[in-house]
Amino acid sequence: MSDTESILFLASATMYAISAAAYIFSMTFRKDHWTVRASQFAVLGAVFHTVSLALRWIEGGHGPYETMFEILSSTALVAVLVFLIVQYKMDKIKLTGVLVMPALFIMMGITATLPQEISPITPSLQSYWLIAHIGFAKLAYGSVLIGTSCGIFYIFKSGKESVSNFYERLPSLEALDDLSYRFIAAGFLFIAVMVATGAVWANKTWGSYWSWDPLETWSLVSWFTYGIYLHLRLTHGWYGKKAAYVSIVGMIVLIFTIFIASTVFSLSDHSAYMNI
Amino acid sequence: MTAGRIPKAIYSLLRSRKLAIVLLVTITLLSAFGTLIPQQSRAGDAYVAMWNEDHPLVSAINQYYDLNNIYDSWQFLTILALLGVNTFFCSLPRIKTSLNRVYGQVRFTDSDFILKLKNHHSIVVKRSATKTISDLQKILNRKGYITTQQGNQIFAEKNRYGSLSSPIFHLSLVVILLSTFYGGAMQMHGVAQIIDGQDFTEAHSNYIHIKEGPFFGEQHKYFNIHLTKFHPSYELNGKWRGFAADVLLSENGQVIKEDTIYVNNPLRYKGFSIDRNEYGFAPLFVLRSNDSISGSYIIASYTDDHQYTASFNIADTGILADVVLYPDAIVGDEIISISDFPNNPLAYLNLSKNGELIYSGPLKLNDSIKFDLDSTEMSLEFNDLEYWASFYIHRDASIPILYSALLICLLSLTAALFYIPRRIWVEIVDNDNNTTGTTDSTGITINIGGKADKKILSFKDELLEICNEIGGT
Repeated sequence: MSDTESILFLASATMYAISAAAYIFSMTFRKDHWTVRASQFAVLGAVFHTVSLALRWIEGGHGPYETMFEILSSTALVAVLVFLIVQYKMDKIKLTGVLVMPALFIMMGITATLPQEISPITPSLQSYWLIAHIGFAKLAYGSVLIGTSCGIFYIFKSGKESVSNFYERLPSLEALDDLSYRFIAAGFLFIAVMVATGAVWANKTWGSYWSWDPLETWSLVSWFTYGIYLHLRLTHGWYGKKAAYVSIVGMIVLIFTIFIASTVFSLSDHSAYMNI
Repeated sequence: MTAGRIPKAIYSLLRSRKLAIVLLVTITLLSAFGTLIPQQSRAGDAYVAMWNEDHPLVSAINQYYDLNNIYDSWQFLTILALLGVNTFFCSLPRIKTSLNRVYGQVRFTDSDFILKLKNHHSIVVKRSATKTISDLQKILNRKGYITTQQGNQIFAEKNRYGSLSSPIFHLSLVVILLSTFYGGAMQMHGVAQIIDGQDFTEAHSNYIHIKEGPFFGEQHKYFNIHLTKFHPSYELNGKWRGFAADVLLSENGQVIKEDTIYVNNPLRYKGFSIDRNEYGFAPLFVLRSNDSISGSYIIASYTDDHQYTASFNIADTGILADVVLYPDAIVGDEIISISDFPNNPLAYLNLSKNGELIYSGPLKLNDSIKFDLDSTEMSLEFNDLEYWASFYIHRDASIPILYSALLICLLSLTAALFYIPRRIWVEIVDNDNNTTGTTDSTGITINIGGKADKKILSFKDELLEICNEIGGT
């Protein structure tokens, strides 16, 4: 890892930390214009982060998907980008930055503790399927992070409007519930694409589209969890708080799948490629 | 319960959405549980036996319930099958409803119906009914709705075909499940091991490991694979691509294909897919005595000790040879291999007879060692070193069906989540019963309401926008 890349990585983590603080300040002290500043810091952080990963890409000759450091770092970047694009399009989502940005800052902190050496690319990763498989995994993470944040806000806000005006600045309960559903539905689709592209790629590389590898099994478990969420919501009327709790369970399962399962299950075929 | 009611009760259970939730939760939990206990299909018998030895308490439960084979167990497969049946029966009535919605007649409704809808508005405007209908249609068309009018009623619809997406998605899941069952029953997969320059014929007995589905029916094709050369390979830009195998595929003596197999680039022939799997080294040891000569290539495999090792009996001498092979050896305090390229091959031999060590030492390529056996002088020569490669050969007839179903599944899921059908009904009520469309003092009332299958909040906003554009109070 070059010094420039290292400095840019730290700068991006710092910008995310400032952005998180600005979101919290804005929400706590009802300073609307601070959400704009918070977004600006997040944009600046994303720029540093992008350049840092681009330099690594050039130096290593492959994308950020070989080591756990690269996987976590690029996932954090995609999540920031998804959040920034979405909040640009949907103003009412802005305050979810109070949860999203601290979560991403923590993720960057964990990333910084991992070995940062650049490894040569594993031959089996030299496939176009990789882009779709990993790209959709990151999009799924970004989407459900925002969806779950909306769900958490729903839980915080429900029943508390009369107690404190702290929550008044959030979108209405109905809007939070709807936004949570929409992002989780998108996440459900992205996980489906990730699993499907992974299956096609596995068939090409390992000769079998499904082998109950622990990581692919946990991806399926994540998908099923969100499938259960959608079923409960659409056919059994689990809206609001109930749906929000299920979305939190889904988020925990997805975090375990993407970031922890590969380190826990040494027999996973994925572990060999992640240079943990 | 009478006999006639039992099938109805079963059908009712099978099309229950509650059952779907129960099955989904069960499969999710079982799938997750299966990752916590080593599975024979992945970890291998030896590892599972060792694990069970280390966990004696869990081991008894594992063996009783066959938890080391959870994904192949009849219980798990039955739950999967039940989910497929449940999904199918749940989808049937929805298909009928969706087809009715897509191809059925346009349903115009009156204010009684509209005002009972969750999303509805009543607006009073002072303009003619004819102009209001025309303006409303323009607004609705601009927002992507297709409108039809009958008298003073309008029916507007958007994303009509979206209502088919959810049943198609669920049916594609059923097809995916069916194809995996079909694939499992009809497939075969095996491992072929070939030494550089040698051949393999696709027949059951030639595989070093083979697993066939119950309905594969020994449909072997008896084609021949000749491993011309196993070698390191690189991309055009010089990037390491791993080891590659140049092969000749022939059938009945005719060369059919000449190709290079490497990671992500399998060879396909007659529904078989041939993937590169593992590799190792095959040293050739030749035993000479005064009156005989014999020799063969020995398969040395990579072990957990990060060494290529082999163990074999030397002809009928009763001598057991344990070999550690260093393809690119450097000899110092200890022997190490610096690469997987056979630049400086060295074999470290331990020869023993009846448990007694008779020789221990290194042997370089083209060198030999001499020893006496029953007063006969013999020599063991290390004459050649080749690579061996193993190939994962498999045939799964369900792949085209599975991939098609996966594609349909993803497309229909996208449509089900984002191409949401929306329907709007409007009735214009002349407050003075003036059907001629002329304006009078009390004006007209527009009763407008609608439904969306999902994204209800954004539909609510859209309906409000439409009302605002119409104007009035």
